[in-house]
Parts: sequence; structure tokens; C-alpha cells
Amino acid sequence: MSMKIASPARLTAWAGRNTAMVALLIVFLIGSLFVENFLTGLNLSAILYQYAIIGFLALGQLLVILTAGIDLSQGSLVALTSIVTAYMMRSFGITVAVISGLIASALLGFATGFIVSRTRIPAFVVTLGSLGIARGLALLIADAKPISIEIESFVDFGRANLLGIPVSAILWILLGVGLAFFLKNRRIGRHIYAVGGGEESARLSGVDVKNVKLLVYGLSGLLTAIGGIIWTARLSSGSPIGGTNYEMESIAAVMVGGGSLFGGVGSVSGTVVGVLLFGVINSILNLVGISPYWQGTIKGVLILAAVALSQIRRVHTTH
Amino acid sequence: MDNPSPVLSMRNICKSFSGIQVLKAVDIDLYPGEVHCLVGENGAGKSTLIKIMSGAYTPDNGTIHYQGQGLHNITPRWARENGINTIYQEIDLIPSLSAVENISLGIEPLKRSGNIDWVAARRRASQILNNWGVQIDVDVPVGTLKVAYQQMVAIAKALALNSKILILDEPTAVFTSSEVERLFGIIRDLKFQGIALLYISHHMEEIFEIGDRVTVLRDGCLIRTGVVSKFDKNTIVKAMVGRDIDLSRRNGNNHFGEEVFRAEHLVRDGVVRDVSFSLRRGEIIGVAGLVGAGRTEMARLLIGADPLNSGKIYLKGNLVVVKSPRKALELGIGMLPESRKEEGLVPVRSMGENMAYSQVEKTSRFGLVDWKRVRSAVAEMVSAVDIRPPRPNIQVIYMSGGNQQKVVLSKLLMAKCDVMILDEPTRGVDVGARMEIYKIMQKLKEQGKAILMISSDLPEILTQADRILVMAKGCIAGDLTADQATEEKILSVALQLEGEAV
Repeated sequence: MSMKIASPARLTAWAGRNTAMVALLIVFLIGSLFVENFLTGLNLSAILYQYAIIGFLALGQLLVILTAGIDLSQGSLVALTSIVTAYMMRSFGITVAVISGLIASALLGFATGFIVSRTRIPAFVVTLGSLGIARGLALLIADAKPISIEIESFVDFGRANLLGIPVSAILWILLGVGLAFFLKNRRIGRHIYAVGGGEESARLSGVDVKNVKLLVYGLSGLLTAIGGIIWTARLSSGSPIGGTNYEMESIAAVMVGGGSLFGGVGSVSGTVVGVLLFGVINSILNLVGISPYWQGTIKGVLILAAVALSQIRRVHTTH
Repeated sequence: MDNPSPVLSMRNICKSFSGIQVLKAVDIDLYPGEVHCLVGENGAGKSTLIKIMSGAYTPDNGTIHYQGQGLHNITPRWARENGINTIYQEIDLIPSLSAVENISLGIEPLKRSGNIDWVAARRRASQILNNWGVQIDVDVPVGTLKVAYQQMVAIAKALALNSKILILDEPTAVFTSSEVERLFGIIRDLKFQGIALLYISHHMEEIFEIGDRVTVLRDGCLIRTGVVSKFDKNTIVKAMVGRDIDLSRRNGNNHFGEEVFRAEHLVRDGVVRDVSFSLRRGEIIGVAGLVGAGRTEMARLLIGADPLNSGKIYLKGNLVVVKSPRKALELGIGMLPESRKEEGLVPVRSMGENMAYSQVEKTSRFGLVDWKRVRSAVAEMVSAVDIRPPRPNIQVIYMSGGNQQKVVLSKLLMAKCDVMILDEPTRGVDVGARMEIYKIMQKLKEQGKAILMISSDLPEILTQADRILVMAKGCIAGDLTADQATEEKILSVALQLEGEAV
């Protein structure tokens, strides 16, 4: 049995299917061996603190990309969520504030989904509009200033641990497992794949294409809001300028994890691995002391390389 | 008939799109256990009619009776749930999903918990396919399966829910003959089960082989309908085109000019092993062969789309090196590609613009396009290939297959080449437009052009070509004159080498 698993042919085949996982293992190994302070509980937990937030966004982005769409509004929705939550917390307490934050972002997500599903305007353009609207609303509500949060229990939640693992990361993984099950075993989950794989075929098979699209943008808004609330708690304030370019990281994570912008292809597990890969790379670059300006460039090159690699692989498997 | 009541009966169906009426008061009845063939030229309204049947379109007018129940229109979901299923020619399955997922899409079996019962879904899918002796992996994405198998998965998908009506839209367009036989076996089985089939095909032989009833549409109108035994090939064709069509061999002028093109021992690893031939002015050479014989691959070498491993090309006696399709055009060698949508046209742009792409450079001055000259050149070409209606602003996607092919052909004409390679010039083109394309070819021949026509349509090769090259396994296996050639002869040459051990 153990011989079978270790057989080189099987191993290469597995590696071919899981490029992102292999990359994650390699990068992790490099970090553990050569980078000081990488393999410490503190650092690993810091990676999870930071990237669980992107993780929630990436799960939402995955749903949208599976339908051959794209959600550019996520970063701005993080800001909107954080401002609404911080603003409401001043007068109404945690529960109302958190629910308001979730609703604000989800509502905008559903509105985006409504336009994408009911018109022929490309998702790229519609979500670019939502990006502007969400950012503008956040700035308006906050009067362009951060709103600080005084409630200790909320701030504590952002830093909570369970056996050294951030609660936010545990929440993210649990949600990911649930989402993977949903995508595999619920009708709507399969229909999300079908819409992206062939919209007209799906429609003719009786799939409710319009409402599937409406749903994925709404869910993307909601998942982004969860990330946004954790982000707010960590920061212990609401910021109208936060979350900038977060959508780029979530899109990159989905694509590196095997997702296709043409729709129908992608997985929760790949996306989770993609998020962790960026988290580990980011941490190594920080620990080695590379300037943040270089970091952006390096990450950009890595995204291109990863996506190019997955393209080559796809060409090989389809011929 | 022992079962006289139709399962579906449509009356007075009308439909128009942006002011153009595509269906005018059409009636049709489908009977259980019968194959009803629907024929008509491209643009006759067949697709619109089946899309109304399957719920993709809503009719403007008319009544529908399904199993005795009156309806105004049908939705896709209602159609599927009530046993009306369509196998479309192109868009049917979702390539990234597996056979099991495709077959159960929209009708997933659920467990009590509301989760999908994958065991039941897989059992149902394999059961249908195994019944037909189709052995495929039901868990790989269907996009990786052979097209014929995809088609069978599509039929299995339709049958997963008890089908009463199955609509097949040109299912055999890309099939080999053994695959067609297997499909006909499946169709006979379905008839036996009492399913009503609506079968759309361009192939007359198929109608007489499996059809029980036939309906002919022309320009959105019902022309004739009745049992197949009351028709013959000629009456159907006549009803389709509204005039008599001469499918017999033309009596062309067989005075050829000097040699303009010669290929010597062309080789490209793996696809073309050894090809030599020459072309004279005013000559049409037909290239026959089975799929995979290397015909298109050979043509691509002639225009420099793929590099030669060895071999020489002479143009008017001079050795030339054809590095790229662009260079080929400069030299006067042009090609009409096989798949016009991917290689020949920009479908979302207008007809005039598509024609102009080939003219932009020739008519530009100081790097600026002279639109006046482009427009006049376009107008000239529209009339030369006789595109009707002559509306240069219409988007190519809204044009019929025949007119699209004429646009591609006109681009080739505009390039004023001496040597023209036509790869499957009439594929997916209706009878009327086909005749006009033949006429254009004859005109080019009279003008002294040399034409190399690749075709899988043997009657077309036999009636149009002066000489016939038969390819097999990357070689020229036979070189026949038009007088010697018969369908049997060509086929036996094409197959001869196929059996030989390499």
C-alpha cells in the first residue's frame, strides 16, 4: 500500500494535477529551511490571521468565477463593511453592527448580481461600477476618516485563538469545507458549475441561470463582508480606504488554484491552497526584508507564472 | 396507422425577430413511434421551429397541443420535465462536466436530505449507455470524449427523463458511417419504445432510410408534408428550393493553360508523407480522402501555415519559399479555410468590414485607410458573389451559412490570387447557395485561375473537378481524371492504403 503511494509515476501524475499544492509545499520547505523565524508558531499564525481575510474573499470570488464572471468590487466592499460596522457599533452594540455590516455588503452584492443576471452588461463593467459605489459610500458615511472601535470584546474576537490557531482561520476552513460540500452535493452547487461551463446548455437543461448568477454575486458580497468584519476587528477601527486591491489577490488565488476565467473549472481546495501559497510567499518576502515595492512585482510575476503553468497543463490534458 | 393521435400538434405557429418573419403559420404533428423528418434550406425556419418546441423561443402566435393539453408556449424546464428533449448540433453538453453530471443536470436525483444522490445518478447514466453498448468513462469531462460519443451522451441525457419527444438537429454532421449506423440503431430502438422523433438532416439518404414522415419548410412557410413513401429525392429537393436543381455533371471547357503551380515531394513529419502534383490554369483539382488522410494538413503547407520539413513548391516555373500565409497571398496563393467561423471571419463585425480586412492595406495611402476605395471594392465583391440581401452593415453572425461562405470566398477573390485552395467550400451550406458557389468556381476557371478543392462530398468532387487526387495516410494514393472516377473507385483508392501496414 505504502509502495503504491510512493510510486514515482503516481506522484508525478498527482503533482501534475495539483500544481498549486506542489508549489505551496516547495515554498513552505524553502521557508522552513532557509528563512529565519519562518517556521515558528507565531509566524504561521500571523500568516493565517492575515490571509484568512483574503480567504473569505477568495471563496466568494471562486463562486463568481465558476459562472464565468468576475467580482472587482470585493476590496471596496471590505471598506464599506468595516465602516458600516464601526459606525453602527457606536450606538447599537456588536450584534446589530455586525449584522448591518453583513447586510450592507450582501445587499450591494445582490444588486450587482441583479444587474449582471438581468442585463447583458459584462460582469467586469458592472462590478467596476460597484467598486466605485461601495468605496464612495464608505467615504461618505465615514466622512473620509477612520472610525475607531472601543468595544473590547469585538477587538478580542479579531485576535482570538484556539490551540494557537486563529479563530478566523478555523472559521474560514470550516466555511470552505461546507462550501465544497455544497458545490458537490447540492443542486444549486452543480448548477453554478453548469452555468460557467455552458450557459445556453445549462438554460436549455432547465437550470435557472439568472438566479444562479444573482446568487453568486450576493454570496460573494456576503463572504467578503465576513472577511471585512474580521479585518475590522483586527484593526479595531473602520477604514474607508482599506481593502484596496484585495480583489486582485482573491482572483489570483482562485486562478493559481486551478480556476479558469472562462468558467466551469475551479475548486474550493485549489482556492484554499492558492490563498495559503500567497500567504507563505508574502511572509517569506517580509522576513527576508524585501521592500514592499518589490513584493508587488514579485507576486505579479508569480501569478503570471502560475497561471501560465496551469494553461500549459490544460493544453496537455485536452489533446 | 395503428396510433392515429399525435403526441404533439402545433398549429399556425408564427414567429418574427426584429420585424423579419421567420415562421409563417406553420403546422406540424408528431406521432409516437415515428421519425418525422424536417427539411429545408438554411434559414428556412427549421431551427426556430424546434426552438419553439423545446421552449427556447416563445411563438408570437399559434396553438400547441401536447398529449391533448392546450398550451400557448413552452418553457425549457417545462419541456424537459414533460418529456420534450432536443439534441442540438453544437450547444448541448457542458464540456467541463462529466457524462454523469451532464445527464443528470437539471434533474439531479436527490436523497431525502436534499443532497444529490450521486450513486443513483451514476447508475442511471451507465444503464442507458450500456444498453447501447457504448463503453465510455462516465466520470471524465465530456469535452475529452469523441464527438460521436458526446452526441450519444446527449441522447442519453434526453432519455434520462422519460422522453416522449426527441428532437435531433443534424446529429450526423460530423459522424463517420459506422457511427451513423450505431445512431440509427439507437433511433430504431427509441421508435420501438414509442418515442416520437423529429429528425433534421441535409442528407436525403438518411430521410429515406429512417424517416416515416417528412415536412418541408421554405422561407418560413410549410411547403409540403406527408409520409415519406409518397416522396422521392427530387420532389423533396424541388419543394426545398422551389425550383429544379441540376445536380448532374457540368460540361466544362477542358482546355487548360500552362502549369502555374507545382508541388514536389512535400513532407511534414507525422501528417504529410510525400505529396507531389501540378495545377494548370483553368483547372479544378478535387482532393478526396478519408478524415485524417492529411488533406487539410497538406493545404496548410501550400500556404505556409505550417512549415515544410522537405519538398519544393514552384510557382509559374520559379522555385518559391512560402514562409507564411501572408507571403502566400503576396505570391498569389490563397486559401478558403475549412472552419469559416474560426479562421475566416470575425463574426461579430459587419459583412462589409470582414470583406474590407483583406483590402485595408492595398487601399491605404500614407498609412491611412482610404474608406471610399474600400467601400467601392466591397460593393463590387458583394455583387460578384451575389450576396442577398446586399447589406454590408449586417453582422456576420446573423447571416446564413451560405452567405457567410460567400463573404469568405469574396475575400479570397479580392486578393486576386492565381492559385486558390478551397477547403470544404460547401460544408454546412444549403443546396441553393451550393449551386451559386459552384457557379463562382466555374467563372474563376474560365478566368484562368487554378483551383485545388478539398472535399469530403464525393458527388461534389465528381461533378466539379477536372482531376481527382485521392489522399491516404499523408500520400497521394491515386490520381484520376474526371471521366475515370466513380465514387466506388475513389473510395477503394482511399481505403487501399489505409489497410497497408506502415
